[in-house]
Amino acid sequence: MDKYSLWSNELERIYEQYIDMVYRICYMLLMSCAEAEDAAQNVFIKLMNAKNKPTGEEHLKAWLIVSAKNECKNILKHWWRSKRVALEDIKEQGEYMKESENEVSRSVSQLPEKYRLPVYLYYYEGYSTDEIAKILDVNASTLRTRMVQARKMLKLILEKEGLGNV
Amino acid sequence: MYKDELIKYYNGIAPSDEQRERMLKGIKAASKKKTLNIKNISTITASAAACAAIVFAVSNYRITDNAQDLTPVIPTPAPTQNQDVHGFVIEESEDILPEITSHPVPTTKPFATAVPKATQKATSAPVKTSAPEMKYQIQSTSVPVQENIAAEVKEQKTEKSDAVEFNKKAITVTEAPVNDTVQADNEIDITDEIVPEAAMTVQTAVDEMYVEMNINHIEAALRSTSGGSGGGSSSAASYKAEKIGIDEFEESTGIKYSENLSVPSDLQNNTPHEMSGIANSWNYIYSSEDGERRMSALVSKFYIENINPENFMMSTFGDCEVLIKEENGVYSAVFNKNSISVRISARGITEDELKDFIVSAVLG
Repeated sequence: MDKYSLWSNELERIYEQYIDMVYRICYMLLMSCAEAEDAAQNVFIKLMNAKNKPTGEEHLKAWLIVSAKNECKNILKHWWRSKRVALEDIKEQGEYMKESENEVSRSVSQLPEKYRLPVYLYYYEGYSTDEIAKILDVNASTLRTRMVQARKMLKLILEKEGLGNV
Repeated sequence: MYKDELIKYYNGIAPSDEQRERMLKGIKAASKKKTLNIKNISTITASAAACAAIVFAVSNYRITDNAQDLTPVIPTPAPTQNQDVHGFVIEESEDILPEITSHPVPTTKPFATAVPKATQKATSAPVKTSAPEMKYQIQSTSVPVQENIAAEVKEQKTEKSDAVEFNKKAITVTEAPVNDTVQADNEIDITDEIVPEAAMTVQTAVDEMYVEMNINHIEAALRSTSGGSGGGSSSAASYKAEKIGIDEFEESTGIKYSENLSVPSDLQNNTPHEMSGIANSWNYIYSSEDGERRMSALVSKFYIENINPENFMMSTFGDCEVLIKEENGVYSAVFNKNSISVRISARGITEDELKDFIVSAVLG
């Protein structure tokens, strides 16, 4: 019996519930559909193979966030990535990106990587700065500073693009 | 505010049904993968080794007209530039690299493990008169970069009573390979872009720290593109900034250049390395308006492998080892990260603030 069938029901529930979140994080950090797909898939494979599985829903969610971040970091620092140009950079993005392509999406993509995840967790997932600091294992004051910097940058980028009212 | 827009944007990022299905299939497939038996690995390794031996043997035998005469052809290594045609090593004269032959390179543990990546690659480069990897001690005056260090050591000797102790300091500096030929042959991906990129990481971390410290005055940020001739840090630094052109400097760093550029002597003396005039380096100097709290961060392509670890405390941040020391309220910290070295000197800050900064700079 393989690992999947041992844990299939539970894993499928987790997959259905969290795939969007994991994919979003991966996409935001990698800015590439194909790589985000690979990374998100790897996160769930890691979960399946993990010896110490996260206990409780909150722990599981935090585990998935951190694993997604680490997976993306590994991909980002891989030599392969530095030696090539993503197809998405040349061609246009996927279908959903066309719909959501607006000033905000462009400005978020211009934020440095380390700001993207805190902004997402704060505004979308509704975590507090203390909770984000704990999840990402950074000093709370450092994280608050990053948030301030991120907001400043977003404002600057949006103002530059003619959306001064932010 | 743009919160609603942000949420709309995040909602827009979601895998399509096809992608979901594909990922789930991948997960299921991964669960069925069988691990390779260790016995199989040894068998495969043995087979591969046997094949390699056969190929090597065949390629080194030449079949002549006489079937009996299977003469092994032993390849003769081409003489390197240090050898004559007979393979005898030509000794280099002492005035070229006196320190290498007269002083042993210290063998204490290098403090960072990530750095030798480029160095290891460089060692496989073809032998040239200017070898890509050079190790030498700080007393050497044969290489331009070393002139600065040597100058600093001489100053220390005359000014301080503990000159003997300082002289014991053995700093091994490994020059990052920048030779075009070496890059082409060995795919060394160290380019000039690395330094600014790394410098930006450090700069961001420094910026954050200064936001927290409520220091809003940035005194200067410098970029040195070539080795300086030594001398006072202040003048050398100004010269570098002016040399590249203030406009270019401001454009490339995003920081306004200040004419009143100065590096306090206590910072200079406590930095473990010369603060300016190092080739391919970026130097950021920050200060509060009253000058009470100051900090400099020097980012360069020179890896410091060993800086008198006796005087420094080693702390580990993630997988990066950082050397820190405190002397008369001035903190010095050194670490290697992503093929560059970062040297920090700060005054008027607490140890916690320094560590917070290092965490940001190291772990991003």
